[in-house]
Amino acid sequence: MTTTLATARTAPRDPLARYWSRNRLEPYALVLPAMAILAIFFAGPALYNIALSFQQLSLFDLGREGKWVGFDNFVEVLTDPATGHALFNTALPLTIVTVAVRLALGLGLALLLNASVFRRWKLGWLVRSLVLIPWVTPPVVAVAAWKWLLDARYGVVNQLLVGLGIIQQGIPFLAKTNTVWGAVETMLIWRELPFVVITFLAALQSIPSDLREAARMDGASELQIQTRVVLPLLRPVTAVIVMLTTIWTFNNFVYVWLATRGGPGDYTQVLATQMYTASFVDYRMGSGAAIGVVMSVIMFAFALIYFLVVFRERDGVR
Amino acid sequence: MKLFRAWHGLALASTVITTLALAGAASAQDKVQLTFRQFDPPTEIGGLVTAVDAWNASHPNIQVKLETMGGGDTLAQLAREVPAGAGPDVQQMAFVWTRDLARSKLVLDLDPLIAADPPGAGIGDFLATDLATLDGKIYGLPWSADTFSMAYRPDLLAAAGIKSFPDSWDDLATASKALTDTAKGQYGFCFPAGSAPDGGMWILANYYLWSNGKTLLEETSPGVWKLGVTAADIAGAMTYFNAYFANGLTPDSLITVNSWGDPELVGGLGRGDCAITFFPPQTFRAAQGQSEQPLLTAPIPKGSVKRISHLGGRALGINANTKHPKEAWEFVRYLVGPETFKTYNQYPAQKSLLASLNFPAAEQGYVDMLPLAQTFERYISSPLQVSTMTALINREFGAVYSGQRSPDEAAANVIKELEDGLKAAAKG
Repeated sequence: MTTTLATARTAPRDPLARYWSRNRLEPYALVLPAMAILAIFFAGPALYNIALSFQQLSLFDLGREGKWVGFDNFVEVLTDPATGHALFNTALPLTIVTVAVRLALGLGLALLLNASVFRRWKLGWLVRSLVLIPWVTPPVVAVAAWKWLLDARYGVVNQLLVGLGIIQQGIPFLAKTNTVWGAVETMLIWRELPFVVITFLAALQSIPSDLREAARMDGASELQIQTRVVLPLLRPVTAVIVMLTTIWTFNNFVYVWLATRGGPGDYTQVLATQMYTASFVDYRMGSGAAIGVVMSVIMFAFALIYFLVVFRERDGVR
Repeated sequence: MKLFRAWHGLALASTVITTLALAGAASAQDKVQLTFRQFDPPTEIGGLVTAVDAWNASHPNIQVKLETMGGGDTLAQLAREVPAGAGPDVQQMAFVWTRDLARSKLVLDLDPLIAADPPGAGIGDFLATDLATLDGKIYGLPWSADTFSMAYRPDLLAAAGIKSFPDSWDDLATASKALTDTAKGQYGFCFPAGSAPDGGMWILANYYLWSNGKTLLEETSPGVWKLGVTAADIAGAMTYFNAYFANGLTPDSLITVNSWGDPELVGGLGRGDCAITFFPPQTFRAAQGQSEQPLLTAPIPKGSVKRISHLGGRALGINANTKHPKEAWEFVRYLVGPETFKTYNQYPAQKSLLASLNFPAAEQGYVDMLPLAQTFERYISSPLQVSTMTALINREFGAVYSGQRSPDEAAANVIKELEDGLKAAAKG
């Protein structure tokens, strides 16, 4: 009798509420709007892109169904030597080099900005704001400004180098194969560095000062504190930064396209510019979509392997 | 009585408001809003803005909103918008786009509109209608025509002891040597040598090949296409233009310049950084505006066979989705009319209007080249996309200029990709 009364008191009277409660549908209902937005704005276009990659379709026939060609687009893309060249450029000079430099510079700058002198003089807000300036500059403006700075004849950089007697004549940085990647990487690193600095800075400021004090009392030097205490605590945030910057840079189109359009020749062609050229210059939407799918697969594989390695290490699995 | 007056006043006010509202609604219904999109740089369209403003002032019921979009993106944007039921009512198109848009029915067949209300002095008066025609129907009305000519600083040529403008490509190279003084930062010949898919090298490379009796593709019999060049021909063209960089007659910085409208060229001529370059008319006028010294034009150098340039220009198309085809056509007829060309800074694509035009003496180069100019019909009718060929030529010439590839390697790439394209097209 007691049990029956208790059940009657806790069970909802409304049949719909009873059904929901019984089937535990509330969580699903709550995430439904977010899932719908994801489906419409992310999954939908992604699926459409995958479907396009199996079709032969001109840019001018978008909205119509193309000719289904199976894996022909993938075969064409993967056997094209230009893809190998673009993949190498995307992986090494564009992604690996710039991510590594951003990581090193970002950590160094964050350690500097975390110095107690800035807090003591209440200048933390100022330096954080200054660091953010490149990041709030639109990439288009940033690249245009850098192109002007690097101009062979009228650019400030060349005028400075000539004025100091380091070089005799201005260097056309974006026209020479031995300087063009350096120039593009400089633009990218300058614009994207603040994200790394600010993220590291936030992580540094969340490390309790007690830990440093304890290490200091145990006789650790400043260098030992940084290498044995601070850096290990930064590993989780470093993992996230590497992950995000790698994916963003690998897929990036803006810097190379605005700075060089893939040139001179095809020297700086990357997968993203190759995809654009296939789709909007050659009008081969299927080939462009296939390059997009290949890029997604590569990044998906990277993310999977990276997370497996990072989390296995974090969880102590060897 | 007071109540009656109040009711009377209220009724009167209601009637007036309702009448005004209905009239407003009716007038809003009658008023047509068209969008006209063009792709020339904002610095070059002052005259067009004046012409559109004049239309809006005289056509209160057909108002036109002028949109500008960067040239390189316009075609792709149209191809995305129109299938989705959007896009401008009237679109400025490069001559070479019309057939691609027509083939996919993204622009209206203009034949019924032309038959009902012919433009200008009749369709027979228009130039380059071949490029606007697909399966015997006209999809774009030729609007403006232009070609390129050489542009130069006569004072610099005189100072270098050059009495007449170089007549051939070889003469141009010789003159450039005499005009180059790197200590002064003065170069003989400047041209857009960038590798971008829409760069200007394509134009110059074709002029060189055509003038030497070659062409990238040729139609041997109806529908049968083959290469009209050998690897040696392409390598020869690459070697010729690369010599300007190798001999220091052209600044290396131009390897990154894609457009003839780039400040390095437009301003460079005025500053005296460049003695000779090549421009279409509106860019030449922009350069004149920035130059303290007089500028002149001269014909494109001749090759071993002839002197030639291309007849380019713009056509006007009507969006296949427009709700107002008649009004759009009325506006198109206005744009090709003589009133527009009083302020619009382009040459009209109509024989009668061209004949009545007074060319300034400085633009004599265009007067000389227009009769020799040929359209890109030879490529547009081929199974390869003109944009693909443009990208290929610019990329491979750029690879030679930057030292990535030798002329022979780059020429072999051009030949291979053209042949692969023809084979793929033959397979369907």
